[in-house]
Amino acid sequence: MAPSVFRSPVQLPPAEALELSKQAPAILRSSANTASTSAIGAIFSAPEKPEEWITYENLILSSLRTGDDKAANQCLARLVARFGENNERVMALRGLIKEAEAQNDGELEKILKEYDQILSENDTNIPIAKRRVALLRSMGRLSDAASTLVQLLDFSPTDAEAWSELSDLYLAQGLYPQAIYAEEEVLVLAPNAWNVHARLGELQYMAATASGADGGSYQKHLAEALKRFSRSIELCDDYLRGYYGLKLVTGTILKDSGKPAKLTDEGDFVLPDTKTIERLNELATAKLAEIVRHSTAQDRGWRGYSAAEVAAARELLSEDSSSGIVR
Amino acid sequence: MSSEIELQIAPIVQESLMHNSRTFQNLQSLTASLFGVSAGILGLESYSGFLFYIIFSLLTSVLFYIIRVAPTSISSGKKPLDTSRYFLGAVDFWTGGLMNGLAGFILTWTLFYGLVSA
Amino acid sequence: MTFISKAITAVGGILLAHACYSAQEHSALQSFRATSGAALTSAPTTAVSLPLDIVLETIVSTFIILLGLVLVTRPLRPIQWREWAGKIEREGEEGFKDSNGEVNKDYIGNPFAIFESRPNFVDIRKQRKEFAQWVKKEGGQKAQ
Repeated sequence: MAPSVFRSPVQLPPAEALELSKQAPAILRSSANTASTSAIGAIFSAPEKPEEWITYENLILSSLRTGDDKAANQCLARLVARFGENNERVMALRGLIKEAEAQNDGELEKILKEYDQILSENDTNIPIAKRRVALLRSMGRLSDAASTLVQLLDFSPTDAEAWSELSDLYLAQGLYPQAIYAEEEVLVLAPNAWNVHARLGELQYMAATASGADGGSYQKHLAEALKRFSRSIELCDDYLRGYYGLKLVTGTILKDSGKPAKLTDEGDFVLPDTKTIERLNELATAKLAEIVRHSTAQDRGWRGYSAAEVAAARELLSEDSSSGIVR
Repeated sequence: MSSEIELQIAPIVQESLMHNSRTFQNLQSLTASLFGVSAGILGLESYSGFLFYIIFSLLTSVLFYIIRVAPTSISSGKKPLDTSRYFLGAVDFWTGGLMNGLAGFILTWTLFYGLVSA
Repeated sequence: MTFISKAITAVGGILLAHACYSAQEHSALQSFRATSGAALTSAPTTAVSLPLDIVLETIVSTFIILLGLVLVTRPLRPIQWREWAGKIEREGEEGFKDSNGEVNKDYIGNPFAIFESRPNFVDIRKQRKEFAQWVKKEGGQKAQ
């Protein structure tokens, strides 16, 4: 089935992105070329649909990705005809196309200067500010990007997407505590987002397993990860990613349960007793096995999981069973 | 207080709730007009007309339950006649349609009564 | 599914229209008999109730239309957060089809996925490079 043009194509695998961008010429042809801006024209022309503009935006993203710059420019022209040159989102999209077409670092520097110029005229232009952060990151200037993003968050602290990007930026620099803090801010803004809970659990797990974590913080990170993964599966039945993380964390905790557990006196969440963790581990194993079985058989109602995730879960399960024999 | 905590732990999806109740309300107002047509054709008067309406709108709820709610709700481990997978209040589900479509019912009832027996 | 339910509704509608017409004719006949018969006999003009077949036809057709209307209603969505989220994860697009088999337009998958895809921060140059590599790899596989 072709992916929907109404959804953001950023995380699609390459094959689907290609399929999506192949739809671009047909969509451009099928819809009218001009959007009328006059009042009389608006009465006679067909009523405009908000989906149309989202479609154009998503088409720009996917055709840039597949290198179809012509289609991207056509889509942009439609958006300009409707919203004008100075619409903030349109400006950001134009910048995006320029970034994609840039051949060398000099051109990128020029685009960066343009962004600075726009921001000096109007420093509340959030889409451009976000592009600037993304461009800095793309050029490898991670700490610059992070500091710019912090400034952006200073005057728009309710932007969950920006907090999430900040967390990812810190993670790229190996700053786990900061990354965890930023991801927690996302959770404050969207407390029921099950994938953010799982993401935070993954961050905690990474922080725990990264070298340099001493005994106390190691335990604390693992306990937090356990808590986050448990919440993510509480919010979402049969959540593959949550169960995967839960199994990983409980497995790690059980493996080094021989070590003496240090009591943290900070009053944080303390690990439950070994029995509970064992039961959690069993639950996660059973659930993962069920998901993998149904998903491989392509049972009706179990086809929503991505193939890569199912493969990873299968690998984890087989690893577990082989190490179980050794034990 | 405890229910508030429970809502925090297991939140309700507002969009789904609205989607479901809108679907059901559309059905109820449509069928209420339909019942008005048949009551008018049958030439029912006073109490028997309202009785007809009550019986048929309960029948609507039952049919809707059997066709839309029961298959998925029972397979997910709910008891029969339990609508809590899709609707918040059970009483609301079974009898809420009565007030919902009454105006439409009376409108078409009187119209068709007049048309047929005039 | 949608065809069947629409057909059921249409059949019911025809039956109901027929019942309506019959009832109307019946009452017209009654009043005609009352006016013409008043001259011949002095029988009182009692309103004869509707014949049983028309009554049955009306009720059956109402029931048939009701069934058709219930069948065309859109599928419901779970209201408990974990069931709804689980449905999105487990079934994907399949779980959110209309009664005529198309994916709902307002279905956007996991609404919180933008916190991980972050379309406003997309690194388009990296994506282009990755895509070019993917094309090369695919092309290489096909050539072999």
